[in-house]
Amino acid sequence: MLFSSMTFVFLFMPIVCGLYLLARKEIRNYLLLIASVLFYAWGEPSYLAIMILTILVNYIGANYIYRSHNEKHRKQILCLSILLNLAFLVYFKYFNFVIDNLNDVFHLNAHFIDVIMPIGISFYTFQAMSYLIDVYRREVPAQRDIYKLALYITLFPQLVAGPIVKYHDVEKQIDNRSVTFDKVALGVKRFIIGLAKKMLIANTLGAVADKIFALPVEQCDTFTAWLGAIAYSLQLYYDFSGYSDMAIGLGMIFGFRFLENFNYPYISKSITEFWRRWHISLSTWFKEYLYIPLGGNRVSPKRTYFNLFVVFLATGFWHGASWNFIFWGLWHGLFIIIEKITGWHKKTGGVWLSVIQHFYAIMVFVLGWVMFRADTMSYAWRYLANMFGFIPAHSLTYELPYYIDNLEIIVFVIALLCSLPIFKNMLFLDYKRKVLRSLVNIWLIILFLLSSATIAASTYNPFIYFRF
Amino acid sequence: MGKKRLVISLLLTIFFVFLLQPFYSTGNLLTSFLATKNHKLYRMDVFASGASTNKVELVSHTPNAVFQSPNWFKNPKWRKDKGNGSLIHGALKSKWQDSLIKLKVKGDGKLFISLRGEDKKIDGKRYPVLVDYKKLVVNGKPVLLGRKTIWHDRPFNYSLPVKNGDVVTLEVTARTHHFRWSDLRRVYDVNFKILFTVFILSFLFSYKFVQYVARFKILEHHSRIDIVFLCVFFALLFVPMLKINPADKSLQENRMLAKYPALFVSNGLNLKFGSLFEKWFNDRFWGREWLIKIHDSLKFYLNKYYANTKVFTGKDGWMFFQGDRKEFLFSEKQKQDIYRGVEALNKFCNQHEIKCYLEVVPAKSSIVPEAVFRKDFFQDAEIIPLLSSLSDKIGIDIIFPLEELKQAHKKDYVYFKTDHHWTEWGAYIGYKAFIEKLKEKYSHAVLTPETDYDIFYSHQVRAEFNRQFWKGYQCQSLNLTDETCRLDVKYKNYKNKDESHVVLHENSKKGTKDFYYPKTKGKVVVIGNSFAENFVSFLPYSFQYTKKLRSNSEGQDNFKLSRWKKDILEFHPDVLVFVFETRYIYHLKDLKD
Repeated sequence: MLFSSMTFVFLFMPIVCGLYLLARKEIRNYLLLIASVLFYAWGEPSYLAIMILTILVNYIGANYIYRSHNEKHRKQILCLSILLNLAFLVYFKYFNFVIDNLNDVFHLNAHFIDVIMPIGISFYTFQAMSYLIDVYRREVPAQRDIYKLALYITLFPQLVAGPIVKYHDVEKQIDNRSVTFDKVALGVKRFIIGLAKKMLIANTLGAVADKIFALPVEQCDTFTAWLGAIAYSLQLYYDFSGYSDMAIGLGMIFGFRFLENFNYPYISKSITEFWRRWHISLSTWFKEYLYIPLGGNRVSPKRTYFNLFVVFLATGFWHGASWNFIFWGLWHGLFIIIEKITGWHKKTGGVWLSVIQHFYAIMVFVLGWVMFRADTMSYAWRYLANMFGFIPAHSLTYELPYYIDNLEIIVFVIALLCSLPIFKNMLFLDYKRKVLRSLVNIWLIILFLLSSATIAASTYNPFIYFRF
Repeated sequence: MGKKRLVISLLLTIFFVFLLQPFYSTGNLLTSFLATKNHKLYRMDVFASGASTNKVELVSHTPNAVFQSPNWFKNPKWRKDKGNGSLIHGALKSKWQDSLIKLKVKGDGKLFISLRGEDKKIDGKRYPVLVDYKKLVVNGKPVLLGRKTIWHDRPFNYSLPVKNGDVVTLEVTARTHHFRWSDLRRVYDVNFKILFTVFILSFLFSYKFVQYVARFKILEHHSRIDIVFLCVFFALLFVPMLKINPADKSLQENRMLAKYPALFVSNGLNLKFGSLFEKWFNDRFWGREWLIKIHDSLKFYLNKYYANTKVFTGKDGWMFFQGDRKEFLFSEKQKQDIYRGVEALNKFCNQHEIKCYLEVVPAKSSIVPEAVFRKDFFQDAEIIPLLSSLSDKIGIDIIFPLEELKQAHKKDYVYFKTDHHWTEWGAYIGYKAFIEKLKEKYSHAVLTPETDYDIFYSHQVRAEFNRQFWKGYQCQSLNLTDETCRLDVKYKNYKNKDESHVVLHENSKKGTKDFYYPKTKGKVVVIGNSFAENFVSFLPYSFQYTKKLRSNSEGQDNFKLSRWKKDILEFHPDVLVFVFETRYIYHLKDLKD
C-alpha cells in the first residue's frame, strides 16, 4: 500500500488512527503491529514470510548476543545474524545484478531468478541490523518481547521508504510514549505537507522529467536537458522528503518522534554539507555502523579517504542494483574526498565565495541526479554531454508547452522557493498569533483537498472505444 | 457529564447518523428531500387495455388538472396487455384540493387507474415525490377514502371493466405531502433496529471523542483553532468511505467498474485481494467524480497542453486522440503481412468481379498540425510509400485524401475540434476523392455535386448511434464540462435536396444499413468503422443500392474478411470500399483468413 493511494488516505489511515487514538494505552502497540502487518501484506502477502523470518533471526540473534558473555561467540552470532539479514537483501535485490555482470565478464549463461523485491527490504534490513549492532555494543538491552521487536521492524509509517529509524532512537518510545494533542496536530500537519509535496509538486515535476528523459538524447536541446535534470532534482527531493514528512507525521500521531530525514539539502554549499542535510537517517546509519567502525577520520588521511570511498560505494549500492547508482555514489564520494583534501567545505568568505560554493554544490548534485535517473550509464553520459552542448540536437519533437506548461511553471517556482527555508517555521507559530495560525490551518486543508483531488484523478481511466 | 459536552456529542451523533445512512436506509434522505421538495403535482395514470386501439379521451376537467397522452404510453412494451394510456397531472397545495375529470373510453376492455407521484430521476435513480391522497371516487363509487401517502413506485391501483363509449368520472382529493414518521420506514426503507444501533454507537463514539478532545483542551489549554482543524481533517478522511457507488459501469469513463474481490478463492486466500480491493475502492468511493472534476478543470484552465492517457489538448481548443500516434516504420515481415491481407481482399474481389477500393482516412493531427504541440503526431505522410507499393504490387486502388483534406481545412473544419472523426465536410472530401478515383474504371459512378445539398451550419451533425461527434470523445474523456470544452463551434452540414432515397433496412445494433435510390445505377458495399458513418451518407445518391457493413477497428478479428463474405456475396455489389484510418493500417493483415 502506498501513502499516496486512496485506500491508504481514506480507508486505512482514518480507521487505524481512529482506533489507535481511542484505544487504551496497553493495546496500542498490538493495534499498531496488526495495522503494520496488514499494511505490509496488502500488496503481496507472500512476502510476509520473509518479514517474519527477519524478525525471528534478529530476535534470537540479539537475545543471544545480549546474554552471552563470551566475546568471541557474541561476535560470531552478530556476524551470522547480519549475514542472514544481508542474504535476504542480496537475494532479492542484487542477485540478478551479480549474475548479469558475471555473465558479461566471464561470458557465462547463468539464469536470472524470477523474483520481485519485497517492498521496503532495504529499509527494514538496515533497521534490523542497527538493532543487532546496538545490542552488541550494549547500548541497548535486547528486546525480550518479540511483538515489540516486530513492531520496531514492521512499523508501517517508515516501513516502505524510511526514514531508517535506529533502534537506540526509539527503544524507549516503543515501551512508553505519550500521545498528546500537540503531537497529533503537528503530525497531521506534517502528513498533509508530505502528501502535498508528493502529489502536487513531485508528481507534477516528475511528469516533466519523465517526458524529457524518455527522449533520445538527439531530440533534446541543451535547455531542455537542463530543464529535465533540474525538474528531476526537485522531483526527487519532494518525493522523498514528502514521504519522510508523511512517515514522521504518522509517527507523531502515534506518539513517536522520528529524527528528521531532510534539512533543506539544496541550500548546501558543499557535498559534505549536502550529506548532512540529505537522507540524514541513511548517512548517519552509514556513519555510525560503517564509517566509524572502519576508523572514521581518526586514522591516517589516506585511510580516511579509503573509508569515505567505501561508505559512498555502499551508499550508491544501497540505492539500487545498477551501475548508475554505484557511479552516483562514487561521484559524491569523489567530491567529498576532494573537499576533505582541500578543506573547501570549511572555507568562509564574502558573498561571492558563498555564491560560488552554492553553484558548485548544485552542479555536483544535479549532474549526479542525471546518473541516478538515467536507465543506463551510456544514456547518462550522453545526456550529460548534451547538457554542455556536446551533442547537437536535431529533429526536436515537441514544443515547450508539451514539457512544461503554466501549471508546471507555477509548481516549478513553488518548488524552488520551498526548497529554501522560507516557510520553515510555518507549523510552529505561537498560539497567540491566532489569525496566522487559522490561515495556515485553512491553507493546509486546501492543500489536503487538492492532494486528494490529484489522488482521485489518478483513478480516472477512460476508454475511448470499448463499450463495457 | 457536562451539558456542553452532551450537546456537542448529540450534534456529532446526528452528523454521524446522517453520514451512516447507507447502513440503515436504501434511500438517501437529504438528496430525496432536496430533489423532491419543489414538486407540487400529483399524477394519475389511466390505461385503457384490451386492444391496441383502445384509449381514453378527455371530456372535461377542472382547471387544476392537465391531460396528456405521451408516446411512451402508447402500446408500451413493458405492459403485458395492449392498449393506450394517458396521464393526468394535478396541481397540489398544502390544503386538500379537489379535481374532477371526465374521460371517454374508446374500445371494450378494462380501465386501469393508478394514483402516483411525479417521476423524478437524478442520474438514473428515482427519488420519491410523495403525495397525500384522501379520496378517489370513480363513477360515484368511492374506491379510496382516508389519507394515503403515495409515490411513483408505490402507487394506488384500481381497475374497472369498460365498454366503448363509456364516460368515466373521476373525483380526486390530494395535497402536498405532510411528513409522518412512518414515511421513514415505508418510503425510505429505514431499518429502525439498525438505526438504533447506529445511533447508540455513534453517540458512544462521539462522546468518547468529545471527551478526548476536551481532555486536551483542559489539560493543555490548546487553541480551538487546532481542535477545529483536526476535526475537519478527520471528518474529511471518513467521507469517501461512507458511500460506495453500486453502479456496474461508468458512462463517463466508458468502462465497467471494478467488482468487489473475493477474499478466498478455490486454492485458498486470494493473494491479489489487496490490489483488487484498491481497484474496487478507487472506482467507487464517494465524491470521486467531484474530486476528479476539480482536478481536471483546474489543470485544463491553467495549461495549454493537457493530457490524460487517451487524449491531449492542442492550441485554440483542439483536442487529439493519443491513439493517433503510430509508428509506420514497419519491418519487412510486417509489410509482407499487410500485403498478404490486401492481396486476399483483392483476390476475393477479382473472383467475384467486384471493384475493390481502400479509403484510408488520415489522422486529424496530420491535417491540423499547427494546433499540435507534439510533432510525433504528424507521420501520416510516411505511410504514402507503403500505400503506393500496395497499389503497385497488388493492383488495388487506394484513396488517401491527405492533401485534399489539408487544402479543405484551410477553408473550413474537416475534423471536429473535440473529436478525432472527420466532419461531414471532411467526409464529403473523402467521398469526392473516392468517386473521382472510381470514375476511372466504373462508368456508372456519379458524383453528387455540393449544389445538390442544402448546406447549413450547426453545432450538431448527423450522429452515429448514441455517439455525439460534435461533443466528441476527447471532450468527454477529459472529464470536462461542455462549456470548458468550448463547444460553440458550428460545423458544415449537408442535407440532400432530393429526399427520394429509401432506407430499405437498418440494424443499429450491428451497424448495418441498406439504401435504395432509383435515379442512379450500380451497387456499392461500404465496410468501415465510425469514419464510414459520415462517408456513407453521401453514397446513396451515387448508387442505386448501397449497403453499409460495420467493422469496429479495435479488438481482434474485426478486419477478418470472412465476417462479411456472406453478406457481400448475397448483395453482389459492383464496388466494394473499405474505410479505415491510418492507425489501423497494420490491421489489414487480418483480411487474410
